[in-house]
Amino acid sequence: MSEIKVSTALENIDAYLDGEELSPEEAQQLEQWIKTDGENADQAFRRVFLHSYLRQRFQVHSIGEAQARELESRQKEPLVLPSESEIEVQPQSQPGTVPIRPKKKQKQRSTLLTWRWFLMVGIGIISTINLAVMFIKDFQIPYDEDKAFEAITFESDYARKTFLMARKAAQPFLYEGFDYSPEFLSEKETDGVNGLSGGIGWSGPWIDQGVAFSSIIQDPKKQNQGKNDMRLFGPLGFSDQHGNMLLTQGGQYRSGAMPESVAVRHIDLLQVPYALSDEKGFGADGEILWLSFMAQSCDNAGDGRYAYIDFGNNESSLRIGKLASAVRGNWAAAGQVNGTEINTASSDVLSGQAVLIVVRILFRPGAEEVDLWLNPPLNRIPDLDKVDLRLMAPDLRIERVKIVSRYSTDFDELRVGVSFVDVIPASDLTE
Amino acid sequence: MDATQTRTLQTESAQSRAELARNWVKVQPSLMAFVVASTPQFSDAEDLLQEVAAEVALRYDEYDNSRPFLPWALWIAKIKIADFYRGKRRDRVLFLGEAMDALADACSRVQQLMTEERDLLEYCLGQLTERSRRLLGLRYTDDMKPKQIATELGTSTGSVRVTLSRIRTTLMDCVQKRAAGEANVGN
Repeated sequence: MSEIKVSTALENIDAYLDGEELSPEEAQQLEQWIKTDGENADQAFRRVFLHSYLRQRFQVHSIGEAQARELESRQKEPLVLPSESEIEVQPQSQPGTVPIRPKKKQKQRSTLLTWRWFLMVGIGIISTINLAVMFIKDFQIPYDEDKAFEAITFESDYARKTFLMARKAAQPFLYEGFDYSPEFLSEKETDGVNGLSGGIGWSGPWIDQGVAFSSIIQDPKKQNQGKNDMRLFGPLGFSDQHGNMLLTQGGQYRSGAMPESVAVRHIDLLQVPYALSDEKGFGADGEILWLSFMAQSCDNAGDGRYAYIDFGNNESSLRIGKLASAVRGNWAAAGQVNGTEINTASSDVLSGQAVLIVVRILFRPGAEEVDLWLNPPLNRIPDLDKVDLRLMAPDLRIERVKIVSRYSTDFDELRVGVSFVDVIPASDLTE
Repeated sequence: MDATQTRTLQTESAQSRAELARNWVKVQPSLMAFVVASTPQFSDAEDLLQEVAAEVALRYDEYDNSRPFLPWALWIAKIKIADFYRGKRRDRVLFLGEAMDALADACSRVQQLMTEERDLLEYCLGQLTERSRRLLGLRYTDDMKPKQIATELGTSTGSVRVTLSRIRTTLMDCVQKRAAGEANVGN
C-alpha cells in the first residue's frame, strides 16, 4: 500500500468530514497514515478540531454582526466560488498587532437570526437541564452498581466451605472439551472439525467456514511445527500455586493458519439458564456470566497475527486470544463491532505460554463490563481488585462461539457457567 | 444519619458537581472534535456528545481525580461511539480501531494547544475574504454538503471540495504562523 502525502491525507479527512464517500483504498491509506506516526495523528486531530470549531462557531458565535453582514450581502449578490488567490487571508492594516475581536453592534437582526438564537438557546437550556437531572440519583438508569463492584472475598471459614460445596455441585451449561478419540476422528468423512458434536449445551456441530482447516490434536509432543513450537512440551493443562489442577479431558483444538481458519458452533439457547436470557436473547442486563478456557499459541509472534475465540454474534462480540489489534502478540481481549476490534486490552503474558483464561462478564444496559484473570488460583473466587484485564465490550447477545485463526494456536476446555466454580472444575482441593 | 453528616454529604456532592462542570467545560471542545471524527454527521455528533455528557455525569464518582480528566472522558466517548454504531448497524466506520485510539492519544496531546489556538483561529477567520467566509457559512451554518453547495452555486462538487479544503488549510497555516510569532499574515 503506497503512502500518502500530508496534503492528500488532510483533503481526505476533509472529504470524510464533509460526508463524501472515500474509496476503501483511500480509507485504508488514511487510517494507516494516522496510525503510523504520532505527528500525523496530531495533524489529523487538529484538522478534525477545525471542522468541529467551525461548526460550533458558525452555528452560534457568528450570529452577530459579521454573519448578519454576510447574510445581507448574500441576499444582494449570488455567491461564486473564491479563486485560489482569493482564499489567501486579507491584508491586515497593522501587521503584528494583537488581534482585536470586532465589537458586536446592537443592531436589529433578521427574523432568521432571531429564531436561530432562540433555537440554540433552547437547546442549551435543555442540555443543561439534562445534565443537571443526571446528577439526581433517583433519575439514574438502573445500573446495578452494587452487583458490579461488590467485593468478592474468601476470608471466612463459612465462605470457604460454601465455595467447596458449590464446587461439588458446579457444572457449566456450555462445555466443549474437544474429547474426540483418534479412532473416531480417523473415521470422520470430512476434514477439519466440521461435524464434531461433543460437549454439552450446543444446538449443532462445529462448522468449518474458513479456507484453512483446524484439527483435534492428541499429543502435541508428536504433533508440532518444529523445535520452536512452544506447545511441544505437552498437552494443555493448568495447576495453580496451591497444587489444584484443572480437570481436563482428551484432545485439544488446534487452529489452522494461513490464510485463515474459522470454526463456528451455535449455542442451544434453550439450555441457557432462564435468568441470563431476555426477549433479545442470551445476555440479559444485570446478570453475570463466567467462562474459561485454556490456550497456547505456536509462539509469541504478534504484528497482526491472530487466533482467538469470539463470543457473540456477527454484529458485536467479545474476542479473547491473540489479537491483530494487540501488536505485541500477548494474550488480549477486545470488543468487536461490525468487524472492527475496539477497546483492546493486552496482557503481559506471552501467547506462546499456556494460559488458563477466566472471564467474568457483567451484562449492563449498553456496554458490558468484562474482567479477565490469567492463571488465577483455583481455590477462591478471583478478586475484582486484582483483574489482569478489564475492558468495556459492546452490548453482547451471545448466539455462537467462533474460533478464528491465522496463526496455529491450541484451545481446550471451553466452559461457560453462571459462577466461577462452574468454569474451573478442579481436583479435590488441598487445604 | 445526623444533620452534620447530611450537610457534609451535601457539601461533597456540591463540590463534585462544581468540579465536574469545570472539567467538562475544559475538555468539551476536544471531546466534540473526537466525536465528530467518528461520526461526521454533525447532528449525530451533537446527539452523541449529549450522551457522553450524561454518562460522564452518571459515572463521575468512578473518576479518579488524581488523574487527567480527558483520557477518562475519551474512554467513555469511545464506548458511546461503539454503542452508537451498533445501534445504527453501520457497515464500516473509518476511524474505529487503532486509528481511533491514535486520534484519542492525539486529542490528549494537543488539547491544551487547541484551546490556546482558538483565539488565533477566530482572528484568522476574520481575515478570510468574504467569499471564503460565505462558503464556510453554507457548509457549517446551513449544514450543506459539497454536492448541495455545488448545485446551489452551479459548479462542480470537486471544485467545492477543493476550495473548502484550501480555505481550511489557509486557516491552519494562518494559525501556525501567528502561533510561531511570524505575524506577517496578509503581507
